[in-house]
Amino acid sequence: MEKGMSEIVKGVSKMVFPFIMLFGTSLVLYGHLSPGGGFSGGVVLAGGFVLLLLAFGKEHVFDIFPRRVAEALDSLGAAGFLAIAVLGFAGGHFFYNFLDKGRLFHLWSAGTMVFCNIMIGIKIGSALFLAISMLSMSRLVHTKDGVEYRQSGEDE
Amino acid sequence: MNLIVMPVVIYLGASFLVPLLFRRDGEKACLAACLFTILGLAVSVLLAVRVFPGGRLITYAGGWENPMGIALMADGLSVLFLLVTNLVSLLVLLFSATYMKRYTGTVNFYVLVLLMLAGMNGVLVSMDIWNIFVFFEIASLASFVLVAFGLGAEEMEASLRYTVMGFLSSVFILFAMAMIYGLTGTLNIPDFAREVSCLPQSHLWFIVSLFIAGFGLKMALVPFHSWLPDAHSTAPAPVSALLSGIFVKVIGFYCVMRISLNVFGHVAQVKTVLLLLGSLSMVVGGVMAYGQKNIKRMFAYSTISQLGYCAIGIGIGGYLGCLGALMHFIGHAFSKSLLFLSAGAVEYMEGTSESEDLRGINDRMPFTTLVSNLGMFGIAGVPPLGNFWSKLIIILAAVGAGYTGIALLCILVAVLTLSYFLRLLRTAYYSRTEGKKEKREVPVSMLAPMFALGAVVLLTGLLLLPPVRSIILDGAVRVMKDFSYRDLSVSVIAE
Repeated sequence: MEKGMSEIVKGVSKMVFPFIMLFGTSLVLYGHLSPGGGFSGGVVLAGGFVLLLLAFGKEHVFDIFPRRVAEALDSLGAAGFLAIAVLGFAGGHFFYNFLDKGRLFHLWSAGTMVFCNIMIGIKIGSALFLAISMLSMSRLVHTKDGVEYRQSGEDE
Repeated sequence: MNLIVMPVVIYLGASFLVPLLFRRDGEKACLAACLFTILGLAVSVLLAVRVFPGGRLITYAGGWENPMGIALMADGLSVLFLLVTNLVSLLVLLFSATYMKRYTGTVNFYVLVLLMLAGMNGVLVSMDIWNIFVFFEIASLASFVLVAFGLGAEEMEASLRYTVMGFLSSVFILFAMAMIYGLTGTLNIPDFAREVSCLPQSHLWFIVSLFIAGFGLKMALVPFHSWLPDAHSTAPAPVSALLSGIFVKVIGFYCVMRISLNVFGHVAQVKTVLLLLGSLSMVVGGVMAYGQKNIKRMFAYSTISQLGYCAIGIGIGGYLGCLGALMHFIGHAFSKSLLFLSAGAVEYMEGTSESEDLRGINDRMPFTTLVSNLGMFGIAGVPPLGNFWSKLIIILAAVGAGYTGIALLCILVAVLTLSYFLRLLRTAYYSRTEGKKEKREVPVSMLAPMFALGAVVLLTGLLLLPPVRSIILDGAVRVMKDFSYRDLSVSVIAE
């Protein structure tokens, strides 16, 4: 039997996916100007991948967004955020906003805030995706002694 | 470069870089964790050099002044805690290099320990109640996972219970913070410490009791203690050592101390509550420890009992009470982590920590027995060691303040402590065994950190010598006794 849900769900998910990604990215990038920000944008980005996970099954999603990459991005986002904070020492203070503030109400208007948001978006997106995909890793198995959880891939 | 943020930056950076660089290599992860901890210890020493002569360092994140910026502060008390925390964790990490080889996924272990350290260091340097809460949660979440690290049914159950109780404490603290923010409009500790005196009494008492319940739960004062014995006895030995040795003290004792002494300023009712809870945990912990068959469980109950002394020390207050509580914390941090490591060493070689199955450990593991002796005597308070003096000081302070009954209880529990440790030594360590006596000592890589901790335990008694005391302890005691956040004037803040 083919993995995942019906052809209709797959088709719609495939169509919607780029728009979810676009919306998530815009939330992350314009977080300092409008409602949104790194966290909510990251959640939307992770949601896009979760949609694919539900529609196509985890093998397909791990093909386009491998676990290794997600794990690396998870650490990289947090480390990058910390790096921005530490770079603030260039201006004399931890978290100092050392970049040019640009023009009000434009994308380039908040110095380091944009990069902080991007890093948080990467971190939250990959971490939330990993956390939800972990749920699909173990499976409820009914055995003689009752119910137990097994990692998928283990033999029945 | 600002030193105060460095402990947090180092450990947070480490916990993100280690999984990035060494995803599969446990040994390299351990090496990196040790190196970062050495760095953390070095920063604490540098901070100590700056702070111990007197005064405090204050900084604001982003260079934003008071209402906007998040304040960080290091004074004698927090730096003393930083030193103890980082020294103990370094030695425990060195021990786990060999011990953790029996587990899988050791990289995760080091990452979680580093995160827990980041949280603890963060609590110690924060001067913003929300920041304290965030770091408190980082450390707690890491510890919940670390307790379940063995993935056995018992570990899972202990971790689940610990998690539920832990979140209960978080809810108390969050509720108290919400009330503070609603009533005063600020979460910066000096600002709301100034506002506190204007609050209606009923609100004030509600906030104080929420804080005492929340942080007291983490400190395992007796009505809130049920999670500790399970969590601390089922976790892997290095985790137990970190949790019992420093975690409960940094997250529980330190926060209770800051809130009750420095924020709300020596309120008589709070002190009475601390005296009551302290005496209760001292007695109940001691009696429960006496009945335990499992070595690690006994040590865990003993932690509850000894934390009771610390609570009594703060409850009595004054120079002697504060000095006693502080010395007791230092002595207990080193001795208890040493004891849990030695119990781990016994478990590593013998495969069990049930005292009934263990006979004549001394015949097979003489060196481990030696350090276990040192740890037990350290906690029981055998004369030249630090905890003897701390208990003596607490008893003297209690008599001086007119709490003769509590002084008597302290003496009784000290005798009880010595008796259960001596019984354990007689049945498990020095009992005679039939058959040939083959030496089966743990590897040197595990013995060396234990001996280093033992050496520190031996030295804790020297803390009371006047020249040492005036450098290391007196600054911290001054902070506990006299300092109040509301006195932090704007001019000091602009430092």
